[in-house]
Amino acid sequence: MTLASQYQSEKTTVETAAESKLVIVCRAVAFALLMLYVAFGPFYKQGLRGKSNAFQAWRMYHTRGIGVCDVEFYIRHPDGRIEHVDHFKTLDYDKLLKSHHHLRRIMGAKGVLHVGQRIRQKVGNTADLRVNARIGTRKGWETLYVDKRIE
Amino acid sequence: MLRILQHFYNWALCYRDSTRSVGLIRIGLVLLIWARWAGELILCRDIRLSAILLNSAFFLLTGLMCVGLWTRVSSMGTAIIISVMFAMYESWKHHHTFLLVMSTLFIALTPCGLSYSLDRWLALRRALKSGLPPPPEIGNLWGLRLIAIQLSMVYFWTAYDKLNWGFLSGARMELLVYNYYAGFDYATLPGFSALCFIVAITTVILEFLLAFGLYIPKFRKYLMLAGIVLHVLFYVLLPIRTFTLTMILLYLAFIPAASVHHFINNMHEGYETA
Repeated sequence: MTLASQYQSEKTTVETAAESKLVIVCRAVAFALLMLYVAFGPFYKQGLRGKSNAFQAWRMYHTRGIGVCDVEFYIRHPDGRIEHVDHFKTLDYDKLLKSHHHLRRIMGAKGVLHVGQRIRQKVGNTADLRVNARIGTRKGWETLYVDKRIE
Repeated sequence: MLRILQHFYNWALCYRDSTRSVGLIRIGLVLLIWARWAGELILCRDIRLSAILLNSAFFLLTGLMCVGLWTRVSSMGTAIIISVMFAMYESWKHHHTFLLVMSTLFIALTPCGLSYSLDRWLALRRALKSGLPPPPEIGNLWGLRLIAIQLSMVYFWTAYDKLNWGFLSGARMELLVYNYYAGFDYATLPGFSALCFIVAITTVILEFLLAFGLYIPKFRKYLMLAGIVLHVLFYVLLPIRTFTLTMILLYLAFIPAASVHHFINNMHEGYETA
């Protein structure tokens, strides 16, 4: 007997074997309940905005990146010239690149100002250091600072 | 309507076929469970008697489930114990781990010990001794249908969650890059925003296609390939841990069990069409 014919004969044997009605009914009820739970849970949480923790929502990376900032520092010279400041270089980011992403990213308005203060220490108090920054929100990027002077 | 219900009933509850798929999923799930939680549950981490008893039960039941000894009991025991721990430990509560818990429960509802298990080996030995034919590797695989529905829900609702301008514009994708790969000035890269926009749209379309298309035999092969590429990219680029491998493993629920059976047979004897 080949493996294929053995499989076929086993399948036929199992298919013809009778199951008790109780088993069939229990299985059908369990299937219906579990399917309802699997299908209704995310609908309740995401469609109806339900709060119960008994159900599960499927939101991947829903909150990741919220509050992260994209910044651009620059110095405005008295003659009107704009000098871009590479904050990655100024703050020795080369050393940070192998660190955890929590240490590398700039989070929130406080984070921008903190980085600004560190750059201020490097460029000195006389420079007119300014920043443009945008912050990540659920709706995408939102402007945080425009031409803000770092004191 | 009745015909549709009858068709669904046959699809869901009368799926009697080879148990090799569920046997493979059973082993894979235990390996993923260990990869995710075993490190946290080593006995020395919490030496209260209750914790030692609970964690010992976890290792005992998952071990028995993996090798397939008393499989119906050990796999249901595993499903129960990880459900209890999921409810107990706040750090376990995550949709990735929820998928692991639900899949274990669903696989425990199938005769997953009929293939690739010590139970199978013992049954074969008994049959050989008494001169009977080998016990069949066939069973009712209704748990596989639940896994398939679960995967569809994962894809559908995760795509639904992305139906907002923040994501579809590519901005949320940019945020992920800034969040995890901070250290370069991406805004100055030409085409960066356009690339994020394309990736965002492609992701949403693919997730909706995967939610429904995996049931259609004609599209299954291509969608699975695309799904695997998508999950591998997520795995490599983002801190996802076991989720990618869980999803790829559970794709077995969409492949007809007979095809899996024949595919494995083909490795043992001359080629035959699946």
